[in-house]
Amino acid sequence: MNDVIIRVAGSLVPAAHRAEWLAEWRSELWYVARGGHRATVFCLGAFRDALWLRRNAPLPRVYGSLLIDVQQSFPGPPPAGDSRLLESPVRCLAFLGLLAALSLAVFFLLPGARHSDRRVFLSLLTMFAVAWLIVPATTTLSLGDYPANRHWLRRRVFFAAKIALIFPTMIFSPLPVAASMGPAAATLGAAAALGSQLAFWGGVMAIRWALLDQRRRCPVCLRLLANPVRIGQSSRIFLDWNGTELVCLRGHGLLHVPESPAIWFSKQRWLYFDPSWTGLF
Amino acid sequence: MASHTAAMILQTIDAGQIYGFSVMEATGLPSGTVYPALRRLERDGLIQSHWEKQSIADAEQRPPRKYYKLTRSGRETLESSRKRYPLLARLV
Repeated sequence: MNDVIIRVAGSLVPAAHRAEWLAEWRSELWYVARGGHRATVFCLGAFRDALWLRRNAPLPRVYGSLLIDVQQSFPGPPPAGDSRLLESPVRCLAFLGLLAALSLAVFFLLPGARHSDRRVFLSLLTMFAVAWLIVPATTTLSLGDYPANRHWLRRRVFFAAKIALIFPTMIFSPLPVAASMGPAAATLGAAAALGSQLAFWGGVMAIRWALLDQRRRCPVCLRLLANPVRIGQSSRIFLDWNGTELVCLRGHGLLHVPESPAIWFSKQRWLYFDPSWTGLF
Repeated sequence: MASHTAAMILQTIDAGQIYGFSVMEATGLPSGTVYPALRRLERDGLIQSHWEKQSIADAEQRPPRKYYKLTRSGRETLESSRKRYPLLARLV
């Protein structure tokens, strides 16, 4: 049983590190079991370790004309700005649009969903609105400091478009699930409750993602930033790094994200590159 | 990772030849905290790991251990942590 837990957790570890990771955890498990400790509880910790490795394991990457061997130069950058699928703003909106279209298609194709009770629909709307009140408790709403606040309209329109596309997905996708419980009055309350829960938690996660995604985009081209690099000396601030810097691969600028927000530097800051940088990109 | 967790682990490793489970036993921290902390400290160049020889483990009829030791940078960090947290030595 414990070996199965470690194996399952091991599947989260990047392949290059998996063999050694499994060897260490199996070796440690032997000592845990021998000491009469709770081996299963010990093994469950493997998931956290595996997820940490998955997020932080260094991989060499090539971006544009910038060739950076992350493994050698930057031993363990955070993976922010790593999603190639949603890198460009057009692809990001297309992906969200596809999800919205699928949700609407399912809603209109399933008769049960189409004829959902109005109260169920209203409860979903309410829960999506409540999700907006909960999000500030899970992440900051600030999108960062941008000097002269140039390109603010472009950024806000993009953010509004993301939210507009998330909205139908969050409202219409729970309806088929709620409708599958049946139209009978006895199940109406249960359907509304289930749909509301889905709309609420889905809404919290989706809005949170939209904010996080927005903070990792270049304000000029709206592409995801790349090549995260930890800066400063490690462990200087409460054994932490000073911060992380991400760069726009089109050479528009650099984003500085403080590791531990302080009074004098609480929000991420954007720095525009001047034309002297163009040779690098 | 909280700073005191890292400081406790550095202090424990400084005590001698240490592997993951012995850090857990010494600090009382759970596995889900200790192992990611060890990886992070190693990534930051504060500790270094090495596997013991298979022959040693075979002789003692147990699996080989992955030992951790402080690097020079880790030792310096521990020293500054001790100055910052004078009670650190008593915790572990």
